[in-house]
Amino acid sequence: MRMMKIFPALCAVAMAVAVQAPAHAQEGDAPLILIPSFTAPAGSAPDGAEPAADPEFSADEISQQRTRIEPRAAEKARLTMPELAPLLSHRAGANPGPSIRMQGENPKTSFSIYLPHEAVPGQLRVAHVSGVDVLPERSVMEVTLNGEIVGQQELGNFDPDEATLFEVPAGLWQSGRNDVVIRLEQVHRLFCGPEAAFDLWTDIDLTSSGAVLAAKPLVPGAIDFLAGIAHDAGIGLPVALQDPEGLAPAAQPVLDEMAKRMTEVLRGRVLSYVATDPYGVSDSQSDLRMSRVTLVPTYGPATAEFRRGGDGALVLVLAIPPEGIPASEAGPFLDTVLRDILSERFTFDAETVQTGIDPRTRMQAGVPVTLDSLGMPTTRTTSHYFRRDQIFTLPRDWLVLTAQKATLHLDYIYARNLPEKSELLIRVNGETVRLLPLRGEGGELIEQFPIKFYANLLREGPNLLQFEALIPGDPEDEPCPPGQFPKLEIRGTSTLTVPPSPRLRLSGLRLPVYALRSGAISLDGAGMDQLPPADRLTLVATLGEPIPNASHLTAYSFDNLAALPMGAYDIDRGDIAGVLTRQPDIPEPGPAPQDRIGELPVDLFGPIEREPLDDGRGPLLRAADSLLTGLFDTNTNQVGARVETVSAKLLPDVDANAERWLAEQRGLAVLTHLDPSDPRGIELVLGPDTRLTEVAAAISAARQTIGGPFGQISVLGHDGVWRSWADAGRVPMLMEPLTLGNFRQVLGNYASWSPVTFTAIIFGFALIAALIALRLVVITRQET
Amino acid sequence: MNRRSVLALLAAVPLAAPALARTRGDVFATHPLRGAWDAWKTAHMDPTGRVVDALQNGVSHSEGQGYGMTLAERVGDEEAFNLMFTWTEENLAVRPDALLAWRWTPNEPIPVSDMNNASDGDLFYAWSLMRAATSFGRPELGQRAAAIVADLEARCIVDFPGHAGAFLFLPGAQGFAKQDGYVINPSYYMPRAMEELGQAYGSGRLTTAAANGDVLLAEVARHGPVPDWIEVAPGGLRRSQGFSVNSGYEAMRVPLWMIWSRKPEHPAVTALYGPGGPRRSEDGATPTVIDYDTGEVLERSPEAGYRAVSALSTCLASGEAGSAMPPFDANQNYYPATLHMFSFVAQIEVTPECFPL
Repeated sequence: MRMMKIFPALCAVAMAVAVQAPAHAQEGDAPLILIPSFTAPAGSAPDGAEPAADPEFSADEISQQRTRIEPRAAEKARLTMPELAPLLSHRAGANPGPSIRMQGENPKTSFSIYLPHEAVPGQLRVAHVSGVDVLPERSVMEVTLNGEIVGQQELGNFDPDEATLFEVPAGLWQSGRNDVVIRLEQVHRLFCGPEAAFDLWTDIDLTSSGAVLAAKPLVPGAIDFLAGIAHDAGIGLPVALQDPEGLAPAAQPVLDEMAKRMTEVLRGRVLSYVATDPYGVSDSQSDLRMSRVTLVPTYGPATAEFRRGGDGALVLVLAIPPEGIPASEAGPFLDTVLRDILSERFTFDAETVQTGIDPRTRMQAGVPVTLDSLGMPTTRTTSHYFRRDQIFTLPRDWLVLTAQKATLHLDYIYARNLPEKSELLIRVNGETVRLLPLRGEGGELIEQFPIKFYANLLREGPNLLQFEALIPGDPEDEPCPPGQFPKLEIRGTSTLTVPPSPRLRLSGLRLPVYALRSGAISLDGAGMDQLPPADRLTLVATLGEPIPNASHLTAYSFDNLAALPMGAYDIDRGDIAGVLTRQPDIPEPGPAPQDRIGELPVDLFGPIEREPLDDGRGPLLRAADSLLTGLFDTNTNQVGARVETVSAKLLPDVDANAERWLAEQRGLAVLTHLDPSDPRGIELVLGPDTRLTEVAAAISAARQTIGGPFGQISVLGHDGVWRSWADAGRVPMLMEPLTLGNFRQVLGNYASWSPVTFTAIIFGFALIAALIALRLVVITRQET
Repeated sequence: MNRRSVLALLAAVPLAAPALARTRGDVFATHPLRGAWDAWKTAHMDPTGRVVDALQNGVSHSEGQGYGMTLAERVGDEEAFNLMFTWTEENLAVRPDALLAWRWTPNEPIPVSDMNNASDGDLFYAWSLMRAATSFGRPELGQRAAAIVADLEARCIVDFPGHAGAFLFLPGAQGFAKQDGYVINPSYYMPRAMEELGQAYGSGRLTTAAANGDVLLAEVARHGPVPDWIEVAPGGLRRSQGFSVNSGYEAMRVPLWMIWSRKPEHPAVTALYGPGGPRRSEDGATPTVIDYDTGEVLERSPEAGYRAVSALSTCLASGEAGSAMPPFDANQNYYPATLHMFSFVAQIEVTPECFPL
């Protein structure tokens, strides 16, 4: 009937024709189709002569010449889910890299595999390669899928192209998320002990490992879309955003919400986004891509549907009305669209995604907190080398600079008759605070063993508690004997107590970096809304959606460096330019930022001078001594020089210090916090070839470690590590009224912050008092 | 997603109007097909402006030159247009009339061994010249186009057997006349080009032949797959000895030309690409040759260009907004690559609602 409406003339013609022969099965000269009558006569008479039959032209010849030859389909185009749904690392953060190294005697790592609805997965493929020290006949990989062990494989494969295929029992795979755990038992060929354990490693190639699928096209739907997204993320591709009509601003609430939810359902895996061209040219990346988000306009209400694109990717098509979608409706809209993947089985803690900090690690100062509640349950090891890192997060206005003590009350037990020199090291923020020999009381639970350490090792925000056990082999010069037994157990009932502090803050990058969200970011004066939509979405996914009291980042391109405000400092901008233009000096790529959880950069908390804690004199005495030494040093003969020495101690040239430090740095970007009056404001200078999204990903990754930006200036190195400089002269800011109750602690903190300054002030007060007293004596004597 | 709900909006957006009046430099610099066009040029046009059909032993033909120049004019690439024009004039404009020899073979003592023409090549060549005369501000190109139209009318348009006042568009000046009829190639009918040229240069026979072809091909499509070649006789259409009646690589252009000619509801589109239509792609393998008698798919191809034609036609036949046209594949052969480009052009110009998803 539609034809009747649209082509009335055509239909009239067609209906006038008596179709006497069916289309098919006509042979010989019989007409296939009768010719319709033509209702549009020519306006002009024929000009040239009618061509006569051309007997000299062979029909066969013409036909053969003009018949187009095309190669037959040798293979089908890739329009199906690739034959591998890759392993997706559970590590939060963007692009953790193509492989994961599992090191030590008994490492264990968790992964996910996201499967489409109707894909028929068969085996589980694990591509792995081990170090040469791994003893094949004694080393084994055990793979668990959705809680069931699916197989074991001897390790010692040195060929990176080889992979192990594990048969998976029928019914074990499920559409959507599948949980995979890989456990290794690695034995050294020659030695046994902690040093030998260091040499044991197996790399898992994530891009070549996963579920082996029967190739089938993705079926439009949320689960298959998620499988496509996971596939792309697994092989390191950003999510494609196709917006030829420029609808992203109108779609912003939905896109932001979608980015957040995608990261949640992928268990904290941060996705990045890239704009793609609907009329683009396929390349090595687009050929592999399995998912895409496409925005189209509509006059009707906003709608969403899943479609398959011409390249086989599963496309979430969002139809956006001109007036956009209110933020309040974005959530319910996506609840409907993504309902199949928003069940509890898929979701991950949103706050962890946004901040990179597991909320369980937050602890209150002043009260004992169990390690279990911080996320460290009872942990047992059979290895000769064991390390367990535990983050604990202190309030953002916590500051203790005095010699107060924090205490770890440790519940632990170790095996009887461990070899000599067996020991447990306890480290806090990289400093060893206790070495416990694992000898003498083996086999008995040691409860609440107190380990005290200076609280000034700690900082606001995330801190790191590390347990490291070193248990020599017995003997050490042979492979470890079979039947390894539990050697050490650290109980989750152990408690950590950190002394309370008055609400004090040292200005620096740690707080604003933690509170940085996607909302308040500008680049060369252009706000978030003026950034390319894919970049904007990447920032939302990377840094989290806007929140109240978020910090604000003002970014400057390299060419706009002159606009960088220097706040309370007078640092030469040329020194910052130098950082960004020096040639990289990295012999080889460093480990991915996520691998650095617990790994401490050398200058973890910068050049803040820590007073020696063991000379028995106390900070004030040392400070007074330092001052007096400068003033009356007999080696310094000139008075002027003596004054300079004292002056340098009292009023160091901070700008010169910063410039000296900058002169030794090189990197991709420089992050600064130079205006203490704006505690949530940070500035960023991008290197000539550095993208804002790249730095945002580095910030996001760094927030999950204790080695992120701090102090006043931080440089993102070419190796992905942040190196920071802190102004030792920063004055702690009291965030609460000074009362009798907190007076002593506040004063103590200020005294510890800068004993030299404190001593000078006291010295000044004493001098003034002495002068007043002297004057009183003189006046009194004169009167009498 | 309702196609009508997006249609009106899309009609007003830049993608739908890349060819609207803008400066020539702007058109070329900002044309949405710039990337794909550059890839097409790199793959299929040599530095002299010769469009190379590598799969057919590296020959060039008037069709390829006409197609290439049509695309160059559409994206505003005057430099490439000039190269192709010059090469064509120097190598294929060797007939005594204004038409082009249909094929040029490299590494042959006489590259043009057959002086016959191919009317679709002439048609696209003239169409590109006519449009370039305006868009590139070069009226002399229009004169060349007019001459070609005049000779097409004189040599390739004949009375429709048994239908006074109607005309047939022959595939070439020679070789297609039979004792009581003519062999035609349905895919040589490009109604829009025929109509625009006919109107521009006062060729009523070309315009009428386009209108007649529209009705003729609609009737053909209603009966089954449009054949590559068919003989027109006073009694009706019939298979012709020596010419394939199967619906193959030639005929797959018919729906594309209909769409580009703003006839998206032509039966050549709706009958072949509607639900259950024989030419719809299945998971990447596009039917390319269909047995006329049985409807069986004889060949399929993974080439992206064929998929683009199928996806565009399917989009229109199904009434859904958005199409499964794939990204341009720079590695595909000349013919599917060119159809891919034309599919993009047709979608942008005529059916913005069938944007690639």
